[in-house]
Amino acid sequence: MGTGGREKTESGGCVGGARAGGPCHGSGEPASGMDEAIDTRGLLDRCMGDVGLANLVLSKLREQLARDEAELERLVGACDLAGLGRVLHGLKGAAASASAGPLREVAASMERIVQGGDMHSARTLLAHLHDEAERLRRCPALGEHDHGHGPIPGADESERRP
Amino acid sequence: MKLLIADDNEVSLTLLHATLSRAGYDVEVARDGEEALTRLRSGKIRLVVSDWEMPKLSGVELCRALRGLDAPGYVYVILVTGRDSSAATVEGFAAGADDFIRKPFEATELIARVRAGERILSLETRDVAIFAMAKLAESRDPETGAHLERVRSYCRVLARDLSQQPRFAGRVDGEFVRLIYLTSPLHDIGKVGIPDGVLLKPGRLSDREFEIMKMHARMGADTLEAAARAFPGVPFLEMAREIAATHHERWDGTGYPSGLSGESIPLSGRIMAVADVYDALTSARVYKAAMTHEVARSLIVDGSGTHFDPDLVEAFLRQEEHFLEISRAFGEGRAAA
Repeated sequence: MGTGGREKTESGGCVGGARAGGPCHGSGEPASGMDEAIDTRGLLDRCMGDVGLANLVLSKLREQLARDEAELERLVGACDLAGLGRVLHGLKGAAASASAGPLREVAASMERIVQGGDMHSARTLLAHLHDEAERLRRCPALGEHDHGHGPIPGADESERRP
Repeated sequence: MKLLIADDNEVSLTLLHATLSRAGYDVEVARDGEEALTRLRSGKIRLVVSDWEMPKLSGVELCRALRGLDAPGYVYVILVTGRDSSAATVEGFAAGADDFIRKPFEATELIARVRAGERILSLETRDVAIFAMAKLAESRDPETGAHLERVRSYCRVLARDLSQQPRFAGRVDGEFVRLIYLTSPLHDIGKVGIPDGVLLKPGRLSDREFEIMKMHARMGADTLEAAARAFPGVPFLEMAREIAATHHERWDGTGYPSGLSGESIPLSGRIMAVADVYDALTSARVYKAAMTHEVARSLIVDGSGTHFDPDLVEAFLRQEEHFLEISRAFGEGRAAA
C-alpha cells in the first residue's frame, strides 16, 4: 500500500499543525490517525469494505480539491468572506466523508478564521491547505490487500508468550 | 422502495448512493434543492435523504417547501448535516425534517435511519388502507360511522382491561390493544357482499334472509385472508381476519359461521362479540328502540358462559363506566342510562 506505515517523507516535519509530508494511509489508530492523510480503516468501514468504492471516493475528493483550491485562491484575493465560508464548509464535509482528517482540520480552522474576518490568517492557512491537498494527491490508490486494519497493539507480545 | 438523495457534493453523493443502492433501494439523485423539489412533486418518492447545505434551495428550505405542497402522500425527510448544535436540530425539525444524520455518517446508521423512516411510512399506509376498507364497509351498512367509533373504543377498553389481568399476561399487550382498535372497524366488511334486499331490509329478517346475512362473516374473513396471503407477516390483516370471521361465534359453540366454542374462538373475536352486541342493544334501529345500559348490562351478564367468554363479561363489568362514557361521546339515538 505505497507509503502506508510510519516512514517519514522527504519534506517531513509539521507545518502549522498539519504534517505536510506525513504518510498517506493510516490504520486509524488513535496515536497516529491525525498525522495520516487518510484514515484507511475509517474510509473502508464507511465504504462497507469496498476498496473500489473507497478509491472512487478519494478520486472524487481529489477532483473537488482541484476545483476548490483554485476557487479559494480567487476568493482570498477578492476578500470574499461569504464565498470562502461556503467553499470551506463543503470541503470540510467532503474531507470528513473521505476520512481525510488533517484536510478536514485545516478546512475547519480556515472556516472558523474566515467567520472571524481574519483574512491574513486565512491566507496563511490556505498554504497549509495546499500542502494537505498535495499530500492527498500523492497518496497511491488503495489495493485489494488494504483492509485498513493496522496491527493490534500488544498482539505480537501475547502470541510470543508460552 | 424508491428514494431520493439530494446533495451537491460528489464525495458525499457517491457514498450515499453506494450505501443505499447496496441496501436494496431504488435511488434517484438531485444535485440541488430545486431539482429535488421538482422530483418530489411527482409524488412517486416517499423518502428523501437531503444535505443541509445545497445551492438554490437548502435542505431546510426544501423541507419547508415540501410541507407546503399539496402532495398525495407524506414524504419522510432525513437531513444530513455537519451541524451539531441543538439550535440547528430545532430549526430542521421546525422546517419539517423527520430525522437527522451527522456527517460523516456510518453506513449502518444511515441504513437504520432509512429503515425507521420506511416503518413510519408503512404505518401511514396501513392506516390509510384500513380506513379505506372500513369506509367501504360503512357505505354498505345502514348503521352509522358512529357505530364503528363506539365499537372500536369498546374493544380498546376491554383489551386494556385484559392487559392488566395476570391471566392474560403475554397475550394482551400494548400492541394488541393498538391493533384491535385499528382493525375492529373492519368486523362487518363482508356486508359489502350482502344483497341490498337483505342488508337494507327495515324489519326482521326471515330465516332464509338471516342465512344470507350470516354469510357476511365468512365473506369478510375470505377477503382479509386473501390480503393476508398476499402480504404475509402483516399482523393487522391477521387480526382483522380473525375478528371478521369469529365475532358472531358464541362461547358455547352455537354461533356462526364455524360453530367454534370456548378458547378456540380467537380472543379478538370474543372481545368484538361483547362490544358489538352491547352496541347493537343500546342503539336504536328502524325496527327497535335502543335499550338502556342497565338492560343491556343484564343481558350481557346473562350471556356469560353461553354467548360470551366469562372473562370478557367480567372485564365489561369492571369497565362499564367507560362503556357509558363512550356511548355518550359517540351516541345518537341512545336510550337514557
